[in-house]
Amino acid sequence: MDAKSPQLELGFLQFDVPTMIGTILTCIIVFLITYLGARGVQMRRPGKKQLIVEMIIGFIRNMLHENMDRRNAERYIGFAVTLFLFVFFANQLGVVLMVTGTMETDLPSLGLMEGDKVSWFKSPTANMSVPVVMAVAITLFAHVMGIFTHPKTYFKDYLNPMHIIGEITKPMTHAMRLWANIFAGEILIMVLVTVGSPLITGAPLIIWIGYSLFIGAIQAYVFTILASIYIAQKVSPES
Amino acid sequence: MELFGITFMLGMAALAGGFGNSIVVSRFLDGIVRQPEAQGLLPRMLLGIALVEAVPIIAVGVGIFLLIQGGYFG
Amino acid sequence: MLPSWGDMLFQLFAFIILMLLVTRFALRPVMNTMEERQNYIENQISEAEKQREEAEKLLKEQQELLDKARVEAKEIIERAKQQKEKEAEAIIADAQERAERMIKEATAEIGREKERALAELRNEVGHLSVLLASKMIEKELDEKEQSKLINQYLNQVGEMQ
Repeated sequence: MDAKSPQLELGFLQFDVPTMIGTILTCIIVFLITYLGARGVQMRRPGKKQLIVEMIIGFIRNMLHENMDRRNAERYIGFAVTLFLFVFFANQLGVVLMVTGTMETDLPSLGLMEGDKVSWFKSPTANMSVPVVMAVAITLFAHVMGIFTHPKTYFKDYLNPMHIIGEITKPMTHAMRLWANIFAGEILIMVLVTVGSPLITGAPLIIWIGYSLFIGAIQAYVFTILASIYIAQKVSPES
Repeated sequence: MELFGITFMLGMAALAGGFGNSIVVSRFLDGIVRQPEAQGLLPRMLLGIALVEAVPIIAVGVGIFLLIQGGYFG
Repeated sequence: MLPSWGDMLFQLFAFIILMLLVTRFALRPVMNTMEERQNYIENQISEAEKQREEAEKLLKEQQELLDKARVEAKEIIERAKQQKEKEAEAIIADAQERAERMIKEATAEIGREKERALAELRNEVGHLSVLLASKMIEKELDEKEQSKLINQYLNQVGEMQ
């Protein structure tokens, strides 16, 4: 836990470098997978890559169709597929690439001194900013769409003031659920890696890594399905 | 005192999560015993477990967060 | 540890850009292909259904035709049977008629022959009796008187008969 997280200051904004690396890496992985899967796409004889991409799309599409009406489901399928793949690979990234390095020279712009241990890779979703901003953005988007598409039902919901509390806690639990799962998993991996001898912690570490991969997949699914439910509640309240 | 508070929170969260999971799984097993063809609902049960399990995990995350903020870690 | 504005902004923009890229370069072609395939399969299915319907219609038509032909054949056979019976009856009646006629003719012939034979016999008897009488009584009676007498007797015999 002596690993510092390098920070980048830019004006009044503060950037966490491992999170940026993780985000960019995840974006590249997601884009490459979908792009390669979609390249040379064929109708008659789909290849293995295309089958995988189609399977993912079909899976997400089924999920959307269960939650909202047909037209909206087709509209949000790109968003849901990207969200699912992004969260999925972001969750796995930290589990697979737990690399910690040591600083060779001072790097004052990142706020690091020589000899500090640095973790260069971690899951972007283990940083609280990422799930929070996604959950809040999804909630705000859902509310804006709700006001524009179904203003009557949207405002009727707030005749009961308890709904306001619900609307605030929704994005909070939505974000905290993902963040806490991945964060706790990573902290435990770090503890198992750094504390104690590998002879004792090796077996639990392997088990925990496998469980973390499973948790990452489940949480990606849960995050996507909750996002689609929250949007569906506002966009197509009758279904 | 802070340590005690955090540990107490984690313990209560684990207790609550255990009870929640036990309810989900026992209902699922009851359902399976009564209707063996309901085994196809296993993914849904796992989804429910993930939703229940998120609450103690959130507590763990908050606890670790508080520990780090309090300077007990590293 | 706490969420920072910089990370949040960076993440938001990265995600939006990723979403646009994925939608534009990966999702759209795959979705188009999936839709195309679905349309193709639906077309195939509807075509197959249409063909099956047509085949069923044809089969029904054939069945109807076959039924009609069978009924007609039965009718023809019935009619032929009836005609045959009628003809047979006609032939039998004809034969019966002819047989009756022949019998009648034969009876008439027999009657005529009998008459003729009787007449002949009468003549012969008369003649013979005349001869006999003339021989017996030798001119005691003349021939005319004698034949008159015999005729009388014979008539008496015929009446008695």
